[in-house]
Amino acid sequence: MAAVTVVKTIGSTGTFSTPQLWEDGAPANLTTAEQSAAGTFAVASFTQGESLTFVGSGATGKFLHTDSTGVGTGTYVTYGITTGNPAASDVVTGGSSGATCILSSGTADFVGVVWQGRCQNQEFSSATTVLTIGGSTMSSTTYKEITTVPGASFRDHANVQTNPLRYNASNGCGFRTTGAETQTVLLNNESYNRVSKLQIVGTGLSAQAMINESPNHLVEYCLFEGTYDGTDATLGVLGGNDGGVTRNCVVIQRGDVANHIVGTGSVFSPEFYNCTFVAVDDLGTAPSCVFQSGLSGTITVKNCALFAGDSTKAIKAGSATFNFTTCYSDISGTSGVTQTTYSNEFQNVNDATRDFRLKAGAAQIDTGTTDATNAAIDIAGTARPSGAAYDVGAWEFVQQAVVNVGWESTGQWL
Amino acid sequence: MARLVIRILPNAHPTDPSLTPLRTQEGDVVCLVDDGHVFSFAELNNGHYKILDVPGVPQEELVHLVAAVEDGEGKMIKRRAVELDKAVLEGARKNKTTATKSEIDANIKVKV
Repeated sequence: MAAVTVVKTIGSTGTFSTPQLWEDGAPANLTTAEQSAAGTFAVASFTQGESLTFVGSGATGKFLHTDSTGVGTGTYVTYGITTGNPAASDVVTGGSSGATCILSSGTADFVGVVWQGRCQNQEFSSATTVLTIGGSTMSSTTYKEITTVPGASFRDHANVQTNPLRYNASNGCGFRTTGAETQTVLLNNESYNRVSKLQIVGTGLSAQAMINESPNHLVEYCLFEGTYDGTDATLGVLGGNDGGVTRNCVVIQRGDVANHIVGTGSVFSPEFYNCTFVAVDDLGTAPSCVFQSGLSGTITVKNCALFAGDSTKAIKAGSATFNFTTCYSDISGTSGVTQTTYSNEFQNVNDATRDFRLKAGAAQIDTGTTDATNAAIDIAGTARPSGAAYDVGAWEFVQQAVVNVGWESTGQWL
Repeated sequence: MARLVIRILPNAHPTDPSLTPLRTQEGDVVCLVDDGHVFSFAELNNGHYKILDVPGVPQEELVHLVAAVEDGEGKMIKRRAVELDKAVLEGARKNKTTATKSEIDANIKVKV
């Protein structure tokens, strides 16, 4: 039976005021949560997240959603199950609100939920981790997904084509840690989760923007900045990445004397498509490598920009096997990676004025491999290809069509 | 400047006990927010949380309340390392809405 997506808004006027409270409001088991037909909504409105009692069958649960807008309206109720099995004619009763409705059937219309949080256009900042995801049962079709309200992402900004490609909460929703010590902004401890359209920055000492500790996640259209300076392969500005897919993202290392930009995890096989992995070019000491891998694994890196800011550094370290396809770097000597000059590729590679949009003449333009599955749309919403072929990295350089004005097939000007 | 969101209802995983430590439990601080933070109606009324103000104390001085426990490879194995003693949440102090940092520190228990 199909799962249903439960959409909740996060922000100052949202159902949840912080991403962490949205996560805490998820059902414990996303695979068994249900949406069932219901009627006779009475007494009051249900309150998001309140405990439910199913009077009749004796089941208990947690209120997730309804189309009821108050007494006498509504056709369904969505709930997580804590104990028992809801049955037809159960009186669903809210533990806090006292609201009630009656289930029309013992058979749910949908089984399983995608718990989707949509962030409003604001910066969510904290002295510590902004969002930790974990502790629920999930599957490939029932998972948690954190993204933005339509129009609230940096990639929705009216000037996305001309805005510098770096963290700027004025351009769209952002997550930021403000703590001075080592912090992770977004920690994903759960499989199958999805993260998209967010800007995520850690500015403290050795800050990690996002760590993925479980496989099968999907991260796309995000911008990460951090300063992680340790050597652990499970950590990084973007770290962990055990067995997941990251695509159309920009990852920027801003920390001096760092070891790496991306940690690829200990033993799994993550995949990276059309990402831009860079260290700003004016660090005192550039990171030792772009990728730090662990003990094993096979890592796919396709159409990616890999710039450490120092051609004497390494593209990879560790014992995993890397498969590079049409990648570009300022570092030579790796099969599947073409060396080019860093400053010729991006609008600005210095820290204060960084801007990782491709610039005209960049070697990465029109030299990528076609990949409609992973890279049909770039980080700014531009359809690929713009030009003869896919560009490398997260940014697709928009090429204006050549228009012949007044030139007839006879070769004569009118 | 901080407000604490403290879980006051049980939150064990109903079918997989191995996931329970990865979920916030009674007495756990779910999140830290600034003094002026405005909570949603649901957060204030769903019965799961108590809001405790710690006025004038920077979030940075309370981050230990939301720290996780990690294994040797840095992977989270427990959502919170410490919890607030349930005495803070019950009895005479049930309706307490503000606390000092020293009061908070005096009621912290390390999870076993």
